[in-house]
Amino acid sequence: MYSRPVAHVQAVDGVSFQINRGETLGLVGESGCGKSTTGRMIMRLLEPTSGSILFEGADTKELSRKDLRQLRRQIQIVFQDPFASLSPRMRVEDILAEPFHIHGLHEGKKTRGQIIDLLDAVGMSSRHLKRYPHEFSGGQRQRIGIARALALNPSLVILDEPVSALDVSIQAQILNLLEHLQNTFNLTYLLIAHDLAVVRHAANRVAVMYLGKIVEITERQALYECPVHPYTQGLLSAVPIPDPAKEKIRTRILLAGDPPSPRNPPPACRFNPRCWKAKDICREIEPVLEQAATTEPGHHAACHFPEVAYGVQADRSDAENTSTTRPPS
Amino acid sequence: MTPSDIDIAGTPLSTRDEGCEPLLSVKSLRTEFDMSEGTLLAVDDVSFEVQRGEIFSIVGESGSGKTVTAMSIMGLIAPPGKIISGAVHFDGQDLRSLSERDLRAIRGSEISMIFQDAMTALNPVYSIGDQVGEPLRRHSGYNRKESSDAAVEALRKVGIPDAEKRIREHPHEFSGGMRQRAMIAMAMITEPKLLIADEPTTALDVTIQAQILELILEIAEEQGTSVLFISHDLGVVASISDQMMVMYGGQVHESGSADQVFNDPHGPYTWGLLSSVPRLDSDLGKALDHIPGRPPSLIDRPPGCHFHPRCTHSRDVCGIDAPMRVSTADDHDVLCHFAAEPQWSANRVLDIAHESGAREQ
Repeated sequence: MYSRPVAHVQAVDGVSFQINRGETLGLVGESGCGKSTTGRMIMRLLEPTSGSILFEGADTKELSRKDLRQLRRQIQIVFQDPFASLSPRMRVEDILAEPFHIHGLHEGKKTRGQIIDLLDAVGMSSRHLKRYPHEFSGGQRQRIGIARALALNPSLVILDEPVSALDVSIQAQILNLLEHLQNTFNLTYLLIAHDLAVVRHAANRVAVMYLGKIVEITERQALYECPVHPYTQGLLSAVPIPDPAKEKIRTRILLAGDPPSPRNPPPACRFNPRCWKAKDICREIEPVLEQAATTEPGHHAACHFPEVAYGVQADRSDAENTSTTRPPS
Repeated sequence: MTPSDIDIAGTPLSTRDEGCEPLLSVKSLRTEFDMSEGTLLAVDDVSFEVQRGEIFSIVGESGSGKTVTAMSIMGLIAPPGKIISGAVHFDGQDLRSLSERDLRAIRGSEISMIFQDAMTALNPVYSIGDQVGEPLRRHSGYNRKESSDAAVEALRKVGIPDAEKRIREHPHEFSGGMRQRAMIAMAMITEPKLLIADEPTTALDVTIQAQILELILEIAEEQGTSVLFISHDLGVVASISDQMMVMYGGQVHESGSADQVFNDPHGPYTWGLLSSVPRLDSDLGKALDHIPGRPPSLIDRPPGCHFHPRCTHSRDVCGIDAPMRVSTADDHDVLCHFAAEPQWSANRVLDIAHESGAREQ
């Protein structure tokens, strides 16, 4: 009786991007924007309704069951909640041996050696092997989750909010660890996060999502220093900076209202009801993600009125240029 | 006039003072929990004052004692927890000497509280209007009609459109941000003198967080309410606080004005905390200086200074003697053996040795 769909939610709609080998692509947005759904579709944990995902040149939709297994070996995921993502009944050694079992790889002594190497790589040691997840802190559990993801030498690791459940001092440890592992093992990351400062720290390129669409995508520096999409500007302006002096002189763009439901998104530009620049065209024609005239090559935004705004993200001396951007609330 | 004498809105604090008595004064507060594993000292000798009209923040990581401090002030510590000692004075009254009945008359009228999750404050089976108006029925003798009218007015004030219709809805029909607004309306409807806000924006998206912070500041300013703001988010604390304290392992590690603590911190834990947060205005490509190890168990804290095993500036004495609180400037206090040394804060730049492997201790 529950099988009849009552509504279709287009959690992710018309999203296109690529991840280059060895880089970290950050996917940011607020809750419900479709960033985790995107990550799960790349792993084919969820089936896209349409569209294609090419991994190392091959369309993942065309893969046989056997090849899909290979794909999942090469794409691994680290989840947000280290309390939910590790089985409470398995010892650390079993958690880390499982990927080898599942993929029918060698067992016994050689696996054990690799498991110890993995623990070492994430800053833990062989004395942790016989312990259960509940014996570890949140940060240590996240290290175990990372070790498990790295067990089979994946070429792409999806990091789905890897530090948002952790305390500040532990967050920094895990971010540094991820960076170190990327350099050591030449990993490619898709970093899904809501925290713009975390993404700024860790990503090379950044895509901003709103209600299932990518609204802006570009190199990190361009996104944080010259964002052109009003949503990106509003988002950056909402992140407080831990410096009272800077906070006092900063101009805020206060976005009005809540993000609408993805079940029934606004027509045309989905951001138009919250946008202070919206005109008739924004309610009629959907903007496409394209090169904006005012931006560097590769800086794409989906907006009818893209404009570079400085000063929303930090203490720029030209902050007064943006002082008129506060929308009517 | 120094910047710290000016609140967010730019109004000099002195013009809003009603005498020099602080609104809330907490002295040497200690709260313990008797656990099977031993005694957990959640709040250890905590003292601070909140002035009238001021935003005072408590910042710290989970388990540092922020929430238990607030609960102790409200007299909401239940067994196995117990307030061992200390004094809490609020608006001329000694809260610890009051009966439960007298405390109840204060909670929800003179001191209100808002939480991270509005669902813990709102009852799912009663309408929003019922709940927002309830403090007035309970404390001010309003009847149903009067309290319902006041609820509409209060909801309008917190920016809920169609308030007269929405008072009939239930909490699940509200979005997360709207529920937070309704909870604020309920907390502020009695015009309390003190609002305790415990991580009120932690579960919210950043654009909604910005709206809610602005709302709290606006209403507090308008009603002259002091706010005791509890948060783990240094950015949020920097953007709203007049005064603040940093807690670690149940103790106050550093306290002062927000300007002093953020721009001239003297506590090594504060240094570590500030340099481990990724921020929008840091140099791109700069590594984070993380604090090694993890916060202590409150049952079995390290001897001496509780931070010493993680502190890169610790010396022999730190593992033996508990540090005294030292003043490094007016009203700027630090719990560290060396904070009063001349040029101490120059040590901050040496900072935590960066270790790329990020090994757990």
